[in-house]
Amino acid sequence: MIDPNNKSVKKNPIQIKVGLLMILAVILLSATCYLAYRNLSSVVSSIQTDEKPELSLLSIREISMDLEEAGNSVRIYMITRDSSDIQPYYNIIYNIDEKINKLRSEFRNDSVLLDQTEDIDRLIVENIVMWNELLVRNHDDKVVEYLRLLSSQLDSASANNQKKEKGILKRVFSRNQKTLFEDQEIINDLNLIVQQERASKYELINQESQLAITSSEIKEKFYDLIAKMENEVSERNKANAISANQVAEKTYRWLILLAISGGLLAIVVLFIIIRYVRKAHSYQIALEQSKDEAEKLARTKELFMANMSHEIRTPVTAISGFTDQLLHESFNENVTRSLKIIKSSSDHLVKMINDILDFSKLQNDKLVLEKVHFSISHILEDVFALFEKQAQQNNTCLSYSLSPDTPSVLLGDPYRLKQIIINLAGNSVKFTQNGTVYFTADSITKQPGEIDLVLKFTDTGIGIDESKLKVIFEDFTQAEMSTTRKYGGTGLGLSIVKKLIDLHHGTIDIKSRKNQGTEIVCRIPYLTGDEKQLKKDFVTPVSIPEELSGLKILIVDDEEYNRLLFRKILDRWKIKCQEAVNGMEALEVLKEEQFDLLFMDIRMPGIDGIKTTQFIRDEMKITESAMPIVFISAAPMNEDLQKYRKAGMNAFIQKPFSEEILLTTIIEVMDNKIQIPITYNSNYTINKPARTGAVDLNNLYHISGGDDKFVKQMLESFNNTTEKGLKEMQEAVISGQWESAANLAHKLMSPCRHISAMDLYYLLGKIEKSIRNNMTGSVELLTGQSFSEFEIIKELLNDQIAKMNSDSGKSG
Amino acid sequence: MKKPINVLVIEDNEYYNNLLSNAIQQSINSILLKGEYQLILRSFTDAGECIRKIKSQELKFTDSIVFLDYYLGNGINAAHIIRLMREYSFDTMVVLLSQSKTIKERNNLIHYDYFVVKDNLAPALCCLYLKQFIENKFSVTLD
Repeated sequence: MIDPNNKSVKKNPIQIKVGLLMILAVILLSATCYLAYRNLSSVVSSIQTDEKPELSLLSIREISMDLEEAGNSVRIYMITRDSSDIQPYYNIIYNIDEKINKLRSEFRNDSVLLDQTEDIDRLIVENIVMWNELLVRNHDDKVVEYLRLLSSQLDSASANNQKKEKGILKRVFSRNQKTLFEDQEIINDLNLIVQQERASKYELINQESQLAITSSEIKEKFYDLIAKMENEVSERNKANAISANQVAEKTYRWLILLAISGGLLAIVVLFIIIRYVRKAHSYQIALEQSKDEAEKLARTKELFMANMSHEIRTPVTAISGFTDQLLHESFNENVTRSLKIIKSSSDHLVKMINDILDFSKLQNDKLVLEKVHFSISHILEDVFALFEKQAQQNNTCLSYSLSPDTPSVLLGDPYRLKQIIINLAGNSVKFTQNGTVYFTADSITKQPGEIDLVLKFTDTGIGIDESKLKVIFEDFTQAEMSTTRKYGGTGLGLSIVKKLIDLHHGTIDIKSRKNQGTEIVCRIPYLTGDEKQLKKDFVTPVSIPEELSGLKILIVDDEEYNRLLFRKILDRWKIKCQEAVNGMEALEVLKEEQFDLLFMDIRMPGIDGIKTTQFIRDEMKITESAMPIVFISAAPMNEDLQKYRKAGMNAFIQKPFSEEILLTTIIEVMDNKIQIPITYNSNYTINKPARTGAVDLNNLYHISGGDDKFVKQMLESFNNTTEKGLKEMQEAVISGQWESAANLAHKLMSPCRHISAMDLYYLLGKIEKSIRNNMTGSVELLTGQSFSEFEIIKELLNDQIAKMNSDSGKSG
Repeated sequence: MKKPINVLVIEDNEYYNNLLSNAIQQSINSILLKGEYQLILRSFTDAGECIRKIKSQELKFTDSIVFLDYYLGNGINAAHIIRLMREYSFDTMVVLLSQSKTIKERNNLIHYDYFVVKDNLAPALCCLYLKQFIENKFSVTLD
């Protein structure tokens, strides 16, 4: 047992492969994205980190500039003694503490930079102390007041600062009470110094110089530290850059690796897809080949069936036909009984062949239903008549009825309906001994113009076991094996009936009990027919009409015994007939003779009946009314009816046929022609002589298909070749080369005949004949006449060419 | 490349050769061959040239139909050509053409397939035989 899931997996390996590769591709893509993101983040983070020391350096430089400005402010004040000049110094010193704290906070994670910040802080304190000493030495009241103000501000500011980050000003100006006292003393001293100012001025200048030098040294040291810091930051930036480079390189490597992997993956996917497409293509080719082979096999089977049918029917036709003929004659009782057995056996054989053929067509959906107006009562009558005798032999009472509500004329396929009824009624009769068989036809109106024909078959025969009811419609099935042995048959009858009813979109139901009988009900939809369009039934005459005796019929059939059968029947009816063994011979005969009617076998070696008929109608221009053609074939006509009609067929007879069918068909196709003299179509004039000295170019124009250029070329060619040929013939005649002259004359005849230059044609014919009969005396004269005749033709043709040139000039 | 099916017209009379060739070419144009086959028409007015080409195997007769006039001029007749072409291929379909029906009766021993009298119906008959040849060869039905 096949697991459908496994089947689907096996069926779609490509989907799995591509799916897995797609998953792999997604994983690779995700890994690429993740790596790219991670390394990019690392680089960005490195850049962000690098930005911070630069900001710190800016802060350091700002502090440095502040200190320089503070120094400048002190120096300017010392020169100008203007208290406004010292104001920037106090502002700078007041804010510098905040900037140092900010710097300290930025470097809190970097111990080296924090240490250096502390160094800078220490140097700034030293520098400010120095500047303050300088200012005290050059003090005035306002300066002292500022210093005091700064001191008091620092008290309040210091409360907000952490103990660890003690402000510069606090450390400078308000470290402790003791320092304040010292400062007061200094002020007192300064007051004293002011008093002694003039005296000690020189000494003060020296001290200022000394302090300036010291301040400068401290400043240099301070700048050294800044440079060191800058250097360190620069080094760190370099290290970060190298690190970023390494990360970038690593990222590139990964990206390249992933790109290569992706590329390889794509190649693999592409390879798989190409392989799949190629495989699919090869499968498709194999499939198409299989399909072609299957179709070829089906065609071969069909052809085989058709051939077999033909091959079997043809001898059966002869057997049945000749038996019929023999039954017309009087033999002793034994011979007559034997003949009847032969007749019955051949009829049975034909029925079996028909069944097999129908079955084959139904199986291949080749069976097409006809749509004609027909009488249901006629069909029922026919079927009843068919089985009446058999029922009597079985000591069975056979009866039928037709409901008066059923429309008398229906529209559909009467042949197939009859086949259904024959099969079902036949089965009932066959399997019923000493009982009754009854079949009825009723109708249910579905809507105006549409009915369901209800056929019911009831018998009291052997019946069917209920367990077998389901299989009886299956192909080659009979309820019991013993049935075949006892009653015969192919087991196709009910199967064909079921298929035919299905083809009609009808239904069939069966009820049966073993040894009690069977009831079958069929419902088949039909349209209501029109009585006016009912095909006229030809009643087979009891005697052969006298008018038939004057007819002339051509029989075209490759089978000798079929031709013999025709001849035997037609001879008895005093109808003249001629035979042709194939299409080619028929055409040759028709060129020479006229016929009233033609019987044409369809399947013949070489040119078949259809092509021969087409040729007769299209090329020989013999119309359907001038000479009706009746197709005869072992195959049923249904499927090829249109094709036969198109070819020019008037009627169709299926082999084997009875005398009645043959007679009915002849009367039907000849219609009222057998009561009036048969007239022929004016076109039916083969070998019509041309006018003297004239030509007939109709045939040439017909062949040219309207190509004037071709006609002109042909006329020129005729003139040239004929003139040349006549000259060569004349030379041969003069030099006594008679054989050559005869050949040349012969050669020139065909073109002459083609353009209906019949005078020249006959002259050339005479020349050839005279030479072949060794009567060369008149040849020279005939040759001269030929030249004269040719001159006339040549002139005519030249006129024609000139006219064509003029016409083409006008149209051009 | 498509496999050629040769349709040969061997007729020394230029007029009749043109006539036949034109009718056959029109017929060829109306036949649609599927698959790898292609109908190619070749016509000869010079039987000598035709013989030379057969001998040099330049002209091959496999998959061929030949429309052959009986009298080909210069003392050559269809029997020579048929005998020669049969040495190379027995499958060739030969349609013998002649002005006279007696040729058919006189030449029962020549292996030809069809005989056509060169009358007004001859070109149409030749086209009919060509179609028959195609149908037999490819198991198709041409309309």
